[in-house]
Amino acid sequence: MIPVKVNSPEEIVRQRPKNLPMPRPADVVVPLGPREIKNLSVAFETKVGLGPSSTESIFRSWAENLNTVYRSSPVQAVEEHFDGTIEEVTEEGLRLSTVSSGGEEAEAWLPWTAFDEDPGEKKFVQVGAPIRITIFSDRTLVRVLRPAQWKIATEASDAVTDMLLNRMKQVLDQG
Amino acid sequence: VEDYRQAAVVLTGDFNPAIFHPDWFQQHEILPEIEVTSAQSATDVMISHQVTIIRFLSLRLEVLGQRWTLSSERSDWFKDLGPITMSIFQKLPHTPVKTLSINFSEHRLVQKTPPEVMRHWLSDSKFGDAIGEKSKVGLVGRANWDGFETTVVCEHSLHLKGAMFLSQSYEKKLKTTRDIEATRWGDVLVRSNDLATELLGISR
Repeated sequence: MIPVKVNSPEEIVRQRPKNLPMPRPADVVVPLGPREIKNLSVAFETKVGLGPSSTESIFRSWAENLNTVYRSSPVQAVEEHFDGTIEEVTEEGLRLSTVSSGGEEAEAWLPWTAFDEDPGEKKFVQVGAPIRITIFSDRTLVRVLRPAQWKIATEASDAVTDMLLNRMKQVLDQG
Repeated sequence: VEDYRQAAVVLTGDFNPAIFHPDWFQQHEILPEIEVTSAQSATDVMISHQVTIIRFLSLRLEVLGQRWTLSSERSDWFKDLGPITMSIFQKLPHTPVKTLSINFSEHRLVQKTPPEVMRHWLSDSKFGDAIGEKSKVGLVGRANWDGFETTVVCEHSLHLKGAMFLSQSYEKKLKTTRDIEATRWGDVLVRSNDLATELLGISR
């Protein structure tokens, strides 16, 4: 059996050919994620250290060796999650249209107490905002996308507004 | 290791890793408070001029001088990685960016066994015979789809017995950060799910 040699960060840097082109994202699909996601043996993993610069290679290898720094995020067990859109905001709560992680569409009612785990999210509640509800075994987390994460650009928004106004005028004219 | 999925948005360009600090995310209200406070109280956050690694509650950010990656292993966040990236670079509009890649990786147990799946797509593998006994041959394909250059890897999982490994990358060139906004994130996610279903013969 041929022994597998794992290069040290210094060796990787020394062996790196000059003017090596920077890897394209597609060449190193999810290269920087936790170790488990790669479908490579240990010997191949060292090639990930061939980053865009010597300094970065050293930092990458260093970070990889520090379990405390490089470990993956703890994945909490999600029982179910819902993607929703806020349809109405009242004093008691929110009316939503939702799609479950299983693809089931529904109308739902969400009381304000659902925000107790992260009350800061209430600030972003507005009609039309996408909302995410994640159910764990011990708690429910609600988050709302920020306007910059879902509102269309101003020019596009103006075009949509103009189109809707024209449509309304046509309907009124017909009436 | 159980069924495992990860999604990531990877940008190449020129970045200043030191900008990306949990406090910066808090100041700009880009992520929920619970995500930011989790990172602020973590002991394994690394922020420097060369590299930044921040582990939020549900997301992971890694920034090198020429590569920026936001990833999550939580499927309830997959849909939002793109919009979050967009909102981050709206705050940093002059960042020189070159490429954007939306990546999905998974080690997944499917109804068919890995040899069955691979036989379906690769009926006659002389390559496997050539390289040795008990060979396992995988597939790598590159194609164009809806303005993206895609790379798909489909093979036996080396980490999860009896599972398939599937990796999908959707890459496009960028001229400015405004091009990030024009990305149809939802379409890519739907496409990746459809392709996984077709390639692995699974239903989600």
